[in-house]
Amino acid sequence: MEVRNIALLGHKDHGKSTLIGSLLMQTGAATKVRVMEAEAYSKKLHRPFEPAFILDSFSEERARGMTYDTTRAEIKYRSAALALIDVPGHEELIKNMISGASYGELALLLVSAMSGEGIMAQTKRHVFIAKMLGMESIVVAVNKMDTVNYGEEVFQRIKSQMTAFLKAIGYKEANIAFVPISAYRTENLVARSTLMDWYHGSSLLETAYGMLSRARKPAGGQLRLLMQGRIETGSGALSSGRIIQGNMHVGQVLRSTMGRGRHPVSEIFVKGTRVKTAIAGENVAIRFGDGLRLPRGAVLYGANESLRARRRMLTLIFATRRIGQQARIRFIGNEYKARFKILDIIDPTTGKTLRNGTLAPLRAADAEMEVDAPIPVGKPAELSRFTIYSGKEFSGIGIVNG
Amino acid sequence: MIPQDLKILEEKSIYLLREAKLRFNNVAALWSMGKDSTTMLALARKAFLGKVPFPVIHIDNSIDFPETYRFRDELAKKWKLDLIVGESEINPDLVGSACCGKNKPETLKKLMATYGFDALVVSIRRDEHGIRAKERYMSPRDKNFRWNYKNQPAELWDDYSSKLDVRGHIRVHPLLDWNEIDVWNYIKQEKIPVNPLYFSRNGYRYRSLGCTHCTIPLKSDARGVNDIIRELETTKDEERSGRSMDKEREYVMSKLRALGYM
Amino acid sequence: MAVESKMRMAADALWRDQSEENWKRFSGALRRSSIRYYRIIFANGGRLNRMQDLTKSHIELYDSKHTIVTKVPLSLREGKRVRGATIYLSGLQVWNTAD
Repeated sequence: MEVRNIALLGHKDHGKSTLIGSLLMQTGAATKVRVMEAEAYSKKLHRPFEPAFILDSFSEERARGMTYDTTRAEIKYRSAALALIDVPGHEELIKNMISGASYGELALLLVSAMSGEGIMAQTKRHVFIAKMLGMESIVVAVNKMDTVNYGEEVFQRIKSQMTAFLKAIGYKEANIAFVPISAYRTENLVARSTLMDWYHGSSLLETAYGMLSRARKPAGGQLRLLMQGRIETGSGALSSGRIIQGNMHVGQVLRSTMGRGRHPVSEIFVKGTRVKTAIAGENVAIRFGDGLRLPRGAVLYGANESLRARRRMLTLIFATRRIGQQARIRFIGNEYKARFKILDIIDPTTGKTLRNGTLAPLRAADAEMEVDAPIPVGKPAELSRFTIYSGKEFSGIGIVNG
Repeated sequence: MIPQDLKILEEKSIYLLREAKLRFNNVAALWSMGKDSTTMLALARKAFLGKVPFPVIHIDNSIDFPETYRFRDELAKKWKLDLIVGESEINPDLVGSACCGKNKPETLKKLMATYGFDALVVSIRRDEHGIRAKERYMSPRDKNFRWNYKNQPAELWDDYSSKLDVRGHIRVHPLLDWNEIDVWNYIKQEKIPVNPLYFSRNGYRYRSLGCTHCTIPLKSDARGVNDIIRELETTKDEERSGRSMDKEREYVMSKLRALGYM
Repeated sequence: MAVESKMRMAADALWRDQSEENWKRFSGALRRSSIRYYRIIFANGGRLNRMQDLTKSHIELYDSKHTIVTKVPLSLREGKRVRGATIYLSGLQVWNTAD
């Protein structure tokens, strides 16, 4: 069964873990033991049953009612397995949020309708990051509708404010949906709620499922083979790599972004077996006719095509720690020195540029990047994104815009 | 329990196993002779074209099932495994698992130091337990085997940022994405040899294997791989419910995990 | 019945002396006999706290009709060290009953 990844985003306490807990219960995916554990723990803390405890497994997470690190739960819906990725909502844990959300194909954002909660800075920051991570579609679940008597007014207010923000950071209106829910009372999650007759859309899962079936990755294109390194195998030393686009075959002549020359492919192995052709998504082990030894980080492509590598590019970067002018980046498994020239500092909670700012944690920037060696940026997504390190510490992420 | 696309799982595992071998100088793998770590070895044989390119470690408390020892010795010979057996003790343990609790990690610690391994392939899966769902594919441990689960490295876009701690090591988890049923579907597809204890005899079988002391069989008539797959499609019981260790409170587990319990 | 008497001799020898040499010498006789199944009986109601406790536990051995044939110790000694001896029953199958 095909697994589709949904990243759950939103401010802390807006109900992400509760939503997953409730969905696991409603779809019958929660195991007996995990439900019993959650029951026992709720009782221990003298609280009514807390579905979030099915997900939050660290004792500290339960005691403090807060998710520390990303986690994943799967439910079956129609013909798909939906993997719900829970991420911490707390801003100090943004590194964990990015790690979890990076696997998402669809963003599911929670906004609490409860008085005093609503759209928070972290709500918007998560969406900004989701867009950078490549999630082009978003479902906004307006949660805790039970606390506002399932009334339409709060829902509409959140919808109009959020739509404006989403459009400002580049979401297309057709790729946005809003659903009113109560995760705790399990309203409008799997089946349509009967308590909100003013709402004419589908339930949350149905909406997400519909969005996912539209968000298909384009397949095909020219060959892009990422070299991983040289491995010793049962058939001698071979070059290992992964095809991220296109396909390749024995006898084909390839060129590399590192070094010159034309390299004929004499043998290809996939999953331990000698094959004639290999396709996107497969890990290959290759023997080249010219005995070529390729460095890690090289990209191979068809000799009749062209793939330009360059050192300067325009980027959008997001900082989890302060990023200075000099940093290191990791791009398709290789590390490079990089210099950033900041063009604009962006506040991810408004999408607007800040005057005279520095690239402090939780801020973004349009920046010109210069790398110490040419890199082949472009499509697909793997060739347009990088992680940023200051010293040895993970400090942020970036995407290439031009 | 949701079956996933085996091709996708397989490719990711192959990638991670090769990545482990390329990133680290001295890799070893834990092999408990259970279905998961045996499946991992089958994947390593695919990744490295018929050869398992690292030593495999069995931490042995000397009361494993006779079937397990036999399976170990036969497969080690057949697959030409570089088998390292570390003898562990039975000692009182805070959480009441004298046979397998913290004693096995203690033996593993000594063994890792003796051989100087800097990476250890461990065949855990995210669906085993809520805490395991929080693991990274590559996860650092300090020299005391502690898992700093409150401050895990970022991991995205094929950037496995885990840094090697001084005298620590990296845990590599190539099976993290797999569900229990995927492992069985793959065993069926690839005809991977499995420990006979998984199959029903006299109305009982083992679903998760520890040693003879801490493993309790479950009632089952599943006599073959197909029966097991059918059984898993409907069960709501936890896989490790037959392991006495897991009946401890979960917060103990969390502490234990941080200590290096696997 | 030569095979069966050798098996009885082996079990007796193991009860007298659980040295590793004895296990190596006699376990073959157990496996070559009518014995097909084993069942481990841990002492103290199954509580096992240290290696020494293994000396109080034993293994029941059954034939193909699940009739108990004999019992052997669970432990072996290497000098002063106590270890488990289940590896020497490799080839037998576990026999779980309904209790």
